[in-house]
Amino acid sequence: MRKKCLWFVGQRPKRVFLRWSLCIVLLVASGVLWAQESWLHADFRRESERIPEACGKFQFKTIPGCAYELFTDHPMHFAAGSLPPQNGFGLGLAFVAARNTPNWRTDFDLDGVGTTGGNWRLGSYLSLVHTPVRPIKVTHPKPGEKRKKPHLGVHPFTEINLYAQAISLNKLNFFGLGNDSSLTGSSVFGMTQTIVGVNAIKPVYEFPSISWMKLSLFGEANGRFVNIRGNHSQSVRSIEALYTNATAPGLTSQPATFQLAQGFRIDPVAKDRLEFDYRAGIQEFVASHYSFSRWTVDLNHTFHIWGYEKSAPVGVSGGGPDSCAPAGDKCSSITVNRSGFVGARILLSESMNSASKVPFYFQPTLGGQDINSQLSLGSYQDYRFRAPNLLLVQGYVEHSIWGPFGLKFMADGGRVAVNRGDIGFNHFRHSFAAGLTLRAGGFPMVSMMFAWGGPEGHHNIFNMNNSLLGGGARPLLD
Amino acid sequence: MKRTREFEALISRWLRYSGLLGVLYLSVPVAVAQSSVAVKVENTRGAAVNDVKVMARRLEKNQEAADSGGGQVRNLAKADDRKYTIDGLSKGKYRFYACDEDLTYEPDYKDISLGENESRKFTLVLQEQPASQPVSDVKAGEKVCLIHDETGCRTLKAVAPDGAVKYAGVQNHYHVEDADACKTN
Repeated sequence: MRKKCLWFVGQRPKRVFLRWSLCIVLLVASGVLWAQESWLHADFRRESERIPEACGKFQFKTIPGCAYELFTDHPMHFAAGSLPPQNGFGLGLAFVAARNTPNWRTDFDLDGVGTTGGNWRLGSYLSLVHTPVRPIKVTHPKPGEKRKKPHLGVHPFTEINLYAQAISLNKLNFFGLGNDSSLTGSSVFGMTQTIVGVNAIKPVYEFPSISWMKLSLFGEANGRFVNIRGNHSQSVRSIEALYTNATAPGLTSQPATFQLAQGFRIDPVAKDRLEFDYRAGIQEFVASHYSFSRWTVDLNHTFHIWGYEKSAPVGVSGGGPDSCAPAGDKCSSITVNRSGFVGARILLSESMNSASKVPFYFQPTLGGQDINSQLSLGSYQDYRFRAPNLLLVQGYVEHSIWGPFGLKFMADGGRVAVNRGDIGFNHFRHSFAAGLTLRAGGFPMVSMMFAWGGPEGHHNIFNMNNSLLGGGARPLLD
Repeated sequence: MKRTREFEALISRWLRYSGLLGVLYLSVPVAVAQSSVAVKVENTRGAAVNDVKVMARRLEKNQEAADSGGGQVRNLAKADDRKYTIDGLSKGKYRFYACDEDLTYEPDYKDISLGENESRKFTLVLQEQPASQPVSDVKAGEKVCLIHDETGCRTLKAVAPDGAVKYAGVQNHYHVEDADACKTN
C-alpha cells in the first residue's frame, strides 16, 4: 500500500489529495484493525513469531527447544503419539483454543493423526473446569517465610469433559479367550470405534473432616459404535478364519452400545511421601445382545523418594489431551530435579455376567500393552490374554538419571479368567521389564522398555503417550 | 645514564602495553558473556498496553522457576509502545515478566536460559479477563495488597463496596496480604 501511495506523487494536486486521503484512511483503518485483532488471529500470529525464534537457527542445541515448540505450542501444533500397540506411531496436527470466563476454564481441542499403515484417529474434546468464585483470605506471612505455591491438582474444581472420537486400527491380536489360550490360536482383526460421550469429576470438599482423602466422584456416559473387520494382509490368520461368535462373542455383529460408568477415587498422601491412589467403579454396557456390567478396583501405592510436592510426576488436570496445562496456566518446565518413586499396584476387574454376554472387543487384556497402551506382562505379545475378568499385581521403581530421563524397572504378575470364580493368585503369568523414560515438561511421555520372563520370549516396547504430559486423557477404548 | 633512561622508558612502555593487554584480556570474556533480550508486550487481542513495567529476575541455580522471591531484578528499557529491551545480561536463567501498574491485566512471564552473547526476542501477553473475588475479614474501602504469585507483581487495591477485590485473570494465580506488603516493593 505504501508503494502505491508513493506512486501518486507527481500527479495533479486535487487527484493526489484525494488519493492521499484514501491512503491515510486505509492506513488508519488497518491500524484500527490491527489494534482490534481477534484473539484467535493474535494467537496464530504469536505462534508464527515463536516458531522461527525457536527453530530459525539450525544448531544442535536448538533442536530440543524447536521440537518442544512444534509439539506443544498453541493454537496449532504437531500431534504425535503411539496408537494402540501393533498400529504404529501416529503423526498429525492438533488445534487447541483455551478461554476462561470468571467461573469456567474452557479448553477446546481438535486433533487427527495417521500412521503409514493406514491407521488413524480423529477427535474433538471440550474440557470445562468449574472455578466458582471463592472468598480470598488476607495472609500475614512472617518475614522470610516462603509462600506455598497453590496447586490446581489439590483444588476442589469440578471438571466436565465432552468428546467425540473415532479410531481405526488395522491390526489387533486375538489369541482366544482365557488364561490358557495358546500361541497357535493367534489371529488378527481390525476395528473402528467411535465414541461420543461426556464424563465429569466432582471433588468432594464439602466435609473438612475427610478433605485429607482428596475424595472425588466420577461419572461417564458414552455411546460406543464398534465395527470389527478381518485382516487378511498379515502372515497371521484373520480372526474369522479361526473363531466364531461362540468363541469370540460379538464377532458377527457389533451393536451400538450405551455405556455408563460411576466411581470414586481417593488420593491421600501421607507425610509428603506415601501416596495412596485408590479408584473403584462400575461400568454398565447396554446393547441389543451384549449387555453386561463390570466393576474395577485399582489400588496404586507410590512411595515418592524425594517428596510428593517436589518431585511427583505431572498428573492429568483439567485440559484436553493436546494441552499440557489447563487454560490460563503454563506448561510445566523441563525439570532437572531428581525424582524417584517405588510403587505397588493391584488391579482387579470382574464382569458380572457370563462371558458370552461380554463382546470380546470390550474385554480387558494382559500381555505387552493393552488397547489403551497400558503395559502389563510386557514380555508377552500385545493383547496376549483376553477375558472378562482380570487380576494384575505390579511393582515398579523409577528414578531420574539425567535431566528429564529416567530409568524404570517393573515386575508384573497377573491372570485373566473367563469365569469370575477362576480369578485368584494361582496360574499367575509373570514378566519383568526395564528401560528408559522421558518426561520433558509438557512433551508426551516416552518409554522404551525391554521385557523378559515367562515362557514366550522377550519383547521390546516403545511407547509415546497420545496426550501431552499434564493434559487430559482420551476416552478408554474398552 | 642514557641507557638507564632508555631502559626505564622501555619498562614503562612494556608496563603500559601489558596493562592494556591485561585490560583487553579481561574484557574479552565480559564482552562475550553479554546477551540481549527484546520483549514485546501486548494484550490477548494484540493491542499495546499502557503503563507496563517489564523486568528480568535472575533465577539462582537451585531456585525453582515458580519462586517469585529472591534473585536480582533489572528493568527493561522501553523501545516503543510495545517493545522493551535489555542488554548486558550474563549467562544464566532468567524470568522475564510484565505487569501494568494497577494489575488491570494479569501479568505474564517467561523463563529463559541465556547462553553467552545470545540475542532473544519473545512476546508476553497480558490477560484482560476481568475477575472479582470477595475478601473475607476486610471492610469495604480498606486497602489490601494484591500479589500475583508467579511474578510477585503487586498493587494496592481498595476493597469494593460489595466486599470484593477486582483484578484480571485466573483467581488462584493471586493472593492478598496486608497493605504493608505493597510498601516493600
